Amino acid sequence: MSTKKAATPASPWIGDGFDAEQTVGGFREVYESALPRLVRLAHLITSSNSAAEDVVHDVFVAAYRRWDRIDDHHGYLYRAVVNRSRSVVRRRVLEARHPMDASTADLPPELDQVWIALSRIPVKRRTALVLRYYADLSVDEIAEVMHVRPPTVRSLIHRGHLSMRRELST
Amino acid sequence: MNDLDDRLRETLDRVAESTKVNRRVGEIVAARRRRPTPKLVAAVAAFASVMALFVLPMLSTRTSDGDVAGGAPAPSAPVWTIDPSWLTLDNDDFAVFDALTDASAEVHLPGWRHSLRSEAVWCLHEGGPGADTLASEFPIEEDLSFEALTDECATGNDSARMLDAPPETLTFCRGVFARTEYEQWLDSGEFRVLSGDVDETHPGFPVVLGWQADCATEVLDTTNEVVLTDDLDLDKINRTRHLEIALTGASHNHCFDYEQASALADEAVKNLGTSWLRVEFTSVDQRLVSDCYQPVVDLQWGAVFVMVVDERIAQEPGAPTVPPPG
Repeated sequence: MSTKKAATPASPWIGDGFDAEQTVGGFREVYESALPRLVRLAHLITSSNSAAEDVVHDVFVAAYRRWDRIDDHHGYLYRAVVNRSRSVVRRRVLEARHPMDASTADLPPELDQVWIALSRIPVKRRTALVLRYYADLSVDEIAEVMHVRPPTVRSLIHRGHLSMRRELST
Repeated sequence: MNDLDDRLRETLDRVAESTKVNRRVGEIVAARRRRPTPKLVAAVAAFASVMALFVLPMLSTRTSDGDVAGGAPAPSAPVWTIDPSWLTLDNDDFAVFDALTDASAEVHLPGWRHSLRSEAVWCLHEGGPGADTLASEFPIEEDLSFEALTDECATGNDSARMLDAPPETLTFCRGVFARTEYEQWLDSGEFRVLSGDVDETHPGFPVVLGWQADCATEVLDTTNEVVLTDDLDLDKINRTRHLEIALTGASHNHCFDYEQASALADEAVKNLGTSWLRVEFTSVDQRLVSDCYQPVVDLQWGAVFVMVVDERIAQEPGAPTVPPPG
């Protein structure tokens, strides 16, 4: 096992005992158990439910093609969904294909403001905040998922807070 | 815990609870079944081995002195060698790009031309939209210039048009993906490195900042981790660009098989230098879908790989390079 894999955090979100013996036969089980939380996560990062479904679907399609070569399916899927969600936002495919759900009728006004503010801040900061406050990951775990260094995560969360306060005050 | 933290948690939980989740597992399984699998390739290889070992010798004839020989004298195999002209720029290469442009012109604005990967540039604007784009709004025969980068990032392209006004100051940097990005790229399993070292310094690509900055100390808040330096060298990029044009031209004027395109890609890396990676798609599917392949020079990743030629413009040797009008 490489150092990188050994550093994979033991979070309930990342890796839960599936090993290299997992075969295509185990795909459906992982799909059923992981799908809802992955779509929710992608929704929070992309601000679009429909984009989130596409992101997660694409990740599963890619993963299925080499299913038996992936050591940690949940960890792989989690990281892939986070990164693909960020790419989707960055490349602005989102705007062309999926209008952002910037406001949602299900939220009371004070939370709707927070949701709209969150959709306006840079995606990297938003991702860090979602992983911190929704997924409850530690700084080290977020660094692992986002492929950045822990100090960068602390900086992103700090700047995310500043951006949120700025958005909420305007 | 402060109020913002609480509001963030509650908002995220509430939105997550409202997320709709549709199951499409059938599509995923069906998609895989339609694709050729490594097992299929292995079966074909095994069949070929059986043929080579047992069936083909049975088809041979026995000579009068008892030796086993083939049914006909074996012709000497033609030796395939790389023509140095495939790696150098000439007018035929430009003609291929003109034809590629013509082939797609209908769906583009007047003045559009086929772009090159060596024209990749990141345009970043403070508080505004960023773009991972291509500075291609100049004639293919000319070199990439700071003016072309400026046009792309400040005034001209689709993404930059989202700016209310072009920035007053631009800073030109050389961007290189961080080590973590290469790890992620390789972790995707789509590629494997055949030569070169991901820890080495990579060639890098232009990153244009819409503000006054010191490239060496600027830290970007972008999705991909990019390290900036102040040694953007357009001469080097243009040498890469020339090679990309030449290889594309050669690949449309000649139908290379996978091994030939791979040999040409290896040669291209030798020309480009040690900072370049030679990588290969791990998917064997790539070898089954087409007869013609081309080496691809990717400036952003500093990598050369082989891909299928999607819609070949030129045809057989000796045929006109550019299809006649109409």
